[in-house]
Amino acid sequence: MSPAGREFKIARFALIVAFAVALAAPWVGVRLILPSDVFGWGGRAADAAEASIFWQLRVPRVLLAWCAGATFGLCGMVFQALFRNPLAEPSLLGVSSGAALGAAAAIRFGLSVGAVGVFKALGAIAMPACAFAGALLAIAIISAFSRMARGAGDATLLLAGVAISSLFSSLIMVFQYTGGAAETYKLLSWTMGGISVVGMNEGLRAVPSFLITLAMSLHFSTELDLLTFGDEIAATRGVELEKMKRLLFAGMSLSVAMVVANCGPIAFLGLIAPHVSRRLLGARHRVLAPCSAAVGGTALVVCDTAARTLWAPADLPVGIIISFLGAPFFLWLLFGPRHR
Amino acid sequence: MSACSGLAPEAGGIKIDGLSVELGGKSILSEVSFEIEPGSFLYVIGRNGAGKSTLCKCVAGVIRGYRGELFIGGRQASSLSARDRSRAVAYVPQSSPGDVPYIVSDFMEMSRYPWRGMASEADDRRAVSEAMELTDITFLAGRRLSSLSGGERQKVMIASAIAQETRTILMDEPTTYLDYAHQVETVDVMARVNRERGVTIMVVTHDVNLAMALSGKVVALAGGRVLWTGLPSGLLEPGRLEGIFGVPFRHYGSESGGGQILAPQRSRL
Repeated sequence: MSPAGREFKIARFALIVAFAVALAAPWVGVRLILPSDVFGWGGRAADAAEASIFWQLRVPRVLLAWCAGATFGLCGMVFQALFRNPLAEPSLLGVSSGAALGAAAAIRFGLSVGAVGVFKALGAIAMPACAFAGALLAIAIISAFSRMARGAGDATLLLAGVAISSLFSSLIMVFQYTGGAAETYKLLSWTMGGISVVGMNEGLRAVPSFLITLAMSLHFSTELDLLTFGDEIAATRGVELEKMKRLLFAGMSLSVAMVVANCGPIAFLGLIAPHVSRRLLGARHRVLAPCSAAVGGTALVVCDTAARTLWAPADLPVGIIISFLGAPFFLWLLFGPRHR
Repeated sequence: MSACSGLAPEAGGIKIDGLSVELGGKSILSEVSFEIEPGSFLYVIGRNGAGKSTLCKCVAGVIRGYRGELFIGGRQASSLSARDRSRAVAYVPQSSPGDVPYIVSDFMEMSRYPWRGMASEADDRRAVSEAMELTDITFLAGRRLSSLSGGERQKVMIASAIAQETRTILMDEPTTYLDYAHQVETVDVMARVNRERGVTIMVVTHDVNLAMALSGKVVALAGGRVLWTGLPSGLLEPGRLEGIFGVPFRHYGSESGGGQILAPQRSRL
């Protein structure tokens, strides 16, 4: 079979699996919900409570998890091409820790609790809004540095991101250490990453990020391919380097910021999803992008389903599951039998 | 031939006037001026650090911060977008990344990015397959770039530049890391592209024998300045190469044929 035909088949398989998992996941949980409970069957009426759990909790949650996972996968893929570094991922660039700092500030200073009336509505979005602002702050700092030190090299920028991450993390720890028990618990569980939503509105929150990252990665797939070859090749094949890098960095950072604001800084997914996809399909971004999205989305849905089922009725932070399952899997991928 | 480029043959010429480059506060090139006739060969020779690669990168558009004038095909280089420039000038870098997980045919397809939206898919396919035939790499199409030898990878880079269908190709040390067989093949390909397609070729090298192998003009750089300009035969004048490279040279071979070989004189042997 031609390599292109093989690639196409694998990509199609990945998308089918992703779709099947996304369709199956809402039925699975502490209680298995059956289609007859939701839609009614054979003269039996639908069970209102079960249907409500299904539509108000499970479906939005799966939708949010899938879109968030896909966004992390796509952003990781783009950052790895942009920085020509297989380690690049959103959480390494300070974006995630910026968001975490914002959320931490919101929790620490009680912006999201105790408000009434109009402020109650504001309180509900205070945490995501502050997280988003924190991510923007991180992006602004990194961009300012990269403008200041033109031609400093992508590795330097990556290291600057690590430094900012570390700085923000220390501030988060200050908030955690000085906060009350309830605040600290809330903060801690948020930084571990968690997906809990109520209602369809919240479930839709990661859809724009997913659509933006997918559209950008597909539209600029050839540019991403060329960037993988380094600045010299990309520039002399006609890629407007500065413009392209700025555009991709901004688009991806904003998308990740929106997702992190809602789900917490879920690490590792942005690293794993593109690497798995690259192993399966090679590096061409036109097929790599849909596959990275599918792998990222599926992985997060599976892990989140495990998170809300395994320790029931406790709802484990999904970040724990991701790291617990992801780390050994990644090691197997790196050193396993198929490695050369 | 390369009819789809749609540029007049004179578009291949390059004119450099008073070009100066500073990198990190250090002057790399100062007041460099010369001209490359459309459809001709030009060698830029000099020692390591003479500014040869920097010059090449300036013309290619990799380095954008310079003073002075640079004309590509009669147009100010600074007024060209990256894509415009990539349709006028192709560049074969000194070293290419070897760890990229792409197969050769994917990379060749990317060489046509400058023409996206302007050339038909049939044009793209034809340009790629012609370039691969010319460089004799058609059999490598399905191979991963990371699995190629240095010589094979260099040929792929040259094929990619040819597939770009520009009027000018810049090559930075194209033969330095190649064995003799690959060197000869590379020189043959450059000569054919120049002769059959009328492509202007600028080669940066410290291999004087490469400059002697083909007819063309030679520009010698030293310390970022043009030291000497002339024909390859001028390199045989007494003391010329010593002035450029800082070591005395000898030449071997018959005076009658083209079989001149130049080699630095060793101090102790």
